Amino acid sequence: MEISFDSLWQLFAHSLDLWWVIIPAVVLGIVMGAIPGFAAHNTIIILLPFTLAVNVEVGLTFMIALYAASHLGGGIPAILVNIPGTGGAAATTLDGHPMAQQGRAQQALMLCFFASVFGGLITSTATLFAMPYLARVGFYMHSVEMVVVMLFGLTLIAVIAAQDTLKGLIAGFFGLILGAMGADHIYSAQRGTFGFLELYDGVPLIPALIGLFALSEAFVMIEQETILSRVGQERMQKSTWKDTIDSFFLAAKHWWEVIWTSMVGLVIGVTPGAGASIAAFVAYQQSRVFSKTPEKYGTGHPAGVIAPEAANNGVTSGTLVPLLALGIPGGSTAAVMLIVLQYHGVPLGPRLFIESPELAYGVFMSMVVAYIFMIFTILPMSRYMSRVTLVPTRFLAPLITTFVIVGAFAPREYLFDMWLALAFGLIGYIARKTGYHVAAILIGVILGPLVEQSYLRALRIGGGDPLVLFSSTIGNILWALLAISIALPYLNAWRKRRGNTRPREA
Amino acid sequence: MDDNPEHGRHHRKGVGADLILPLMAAGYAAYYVFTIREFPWEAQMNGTFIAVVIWLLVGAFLVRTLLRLRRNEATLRATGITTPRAKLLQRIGFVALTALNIGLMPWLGFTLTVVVFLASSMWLLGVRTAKPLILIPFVAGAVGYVFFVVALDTRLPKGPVEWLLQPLF
Repeated sequence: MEISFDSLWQLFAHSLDLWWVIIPAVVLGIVMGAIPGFAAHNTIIILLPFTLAVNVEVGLTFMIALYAASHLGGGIPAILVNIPGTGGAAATTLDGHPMAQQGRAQQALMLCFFASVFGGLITSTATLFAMPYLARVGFYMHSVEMVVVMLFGLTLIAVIAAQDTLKGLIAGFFGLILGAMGADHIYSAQRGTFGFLELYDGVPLIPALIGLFALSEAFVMIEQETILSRVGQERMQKSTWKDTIDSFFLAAKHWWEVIWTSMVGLVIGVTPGAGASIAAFVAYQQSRVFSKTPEKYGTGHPAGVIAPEAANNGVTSGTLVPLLALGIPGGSTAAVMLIVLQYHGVPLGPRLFIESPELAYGVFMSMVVAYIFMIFTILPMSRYMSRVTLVPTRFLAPLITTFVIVGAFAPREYLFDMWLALAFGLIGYIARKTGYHVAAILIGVILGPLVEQSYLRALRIGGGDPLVLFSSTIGNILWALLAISIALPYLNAWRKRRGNTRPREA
Repeated sequence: MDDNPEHGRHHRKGVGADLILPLMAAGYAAYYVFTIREFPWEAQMNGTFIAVVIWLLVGAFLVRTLLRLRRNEATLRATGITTPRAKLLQRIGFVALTALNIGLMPWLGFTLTVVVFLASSMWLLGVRTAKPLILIPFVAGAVGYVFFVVALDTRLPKGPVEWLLQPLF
């Protein structure tokens, strides 16, 4: 199938015909994404009887729309109540929730929706055209390159720690060692599990996320009557439709931020094993590095909401590239999709593009259409959703606690995971009350096992020689970019200081 | 006139609570290294490296804290974690109720624990009107049951309510 305007238009019209599948999937995806612990792949697994029963095109469209919408949904509780619905939305809390506390929840939600929808739209369109080239990215990303990509994520710890570097680094490394808990990647020997069988596979991410963000937030929340400041309450009560429109134009002003951070998400998404959490943190860190006002990040800065949200939606199309082009699932949701496609007897890899090109390209067109539907369904909702911040904490905290505890239980269905979430909740509470950032601990927990896995694999390949980490051209380019990322804030600060002193000298 | 030495203490920042997390990190790192002591070097390398970095960071933090104490800029009081005092009992009670909620779930089942937890925690947090105290827990319990147990088929612990309703769904 030749990619021409006519063929794309036909695919678009065909995907529009599937509106009856896309709309319920979008609504379900947003709801499931907003509930911590209920990831898209769990929902797709639950709904396997449906996706296996209908024809492959309908089933695939349903899964794609649900998957894309769940990435958007995760940002909603991250902004409103400081609880990310998915791991990919954890970085959204850094600036999204401070905006909500200032009574700018509507604005933050609009930024989140705009970045998610347009970031997803841009990357799915880009994937349609760049599919053959993007498919090769996975070939070039080996353990050495993965170590550097994850180190990009780790540098965010230093970014978060900007106010108190020592505290930030302690929190980050504490997370790293907690993340290294469980079976060793080579010898399967157990490390630091306190003898709990449930921890032999390592720290499960969802209970850690729920504890660190949701439960600790609920424990802190009850100290105040509402989660808003007094000024924030007044501002929230006066919010109108005009604010919704103004917020849309504010988000549109950041169009360039949306484009490049969503591309960061796309490239990271193409790499099997990397996911939305890493993409969102890397995009946030890169956005701050290249910003003219890095000091505003973490205080409720619009770009701090846009970068992670555009990136985590950029990941959605990225993870499907290795699945369709190579038959390798790029993430857990893609793995479930692989099962459905195999059940329907769909060939994957190069054969898919020869035998069923309309299905291969149709996947991304369905995603484009799903994002277009989201513009009309979710954008107008920001005004009503933001009212959640007005609910008194004496109702909000118990309700949050009740349902997030279920979220901790859901992925593995172990009662132990509820206790684990409570333990992380207490760690998160102590961290919040004493000036250690919970996001730094979470980055450590996410990256701990991944860095170790790639690092040990690289060392094995290199026969134990650490110089193997500098043995690939792409790896070395990434090392150079990492060095620039670390040096740039210091260079900018130095230039600013020089700029400030010059007039006085003159 | 401010002659009271206790009064002066209140101007200094209580940093006792700031030490909890570093000590937890250092303690867990020590335990982690202990569990890998007999492993091959490859399996020890990653953990040992992180543990050493943690000990160095915590050491630096302790030195910084000691210097602040010596300069009379801080005290070892754990004010950071106990304030606001007025809500301290409520917070401890809320955490205890959350633990009780998880602990009782295998016996009471998901739905009943939701109702009991919501009613008791809202009462603890100051809700005294009967209507929300009854209505919210029952609605949340019903929604939770329909959504998580019936629709999503999550295998949450079963109790009297789940057993009673099982023949219907």
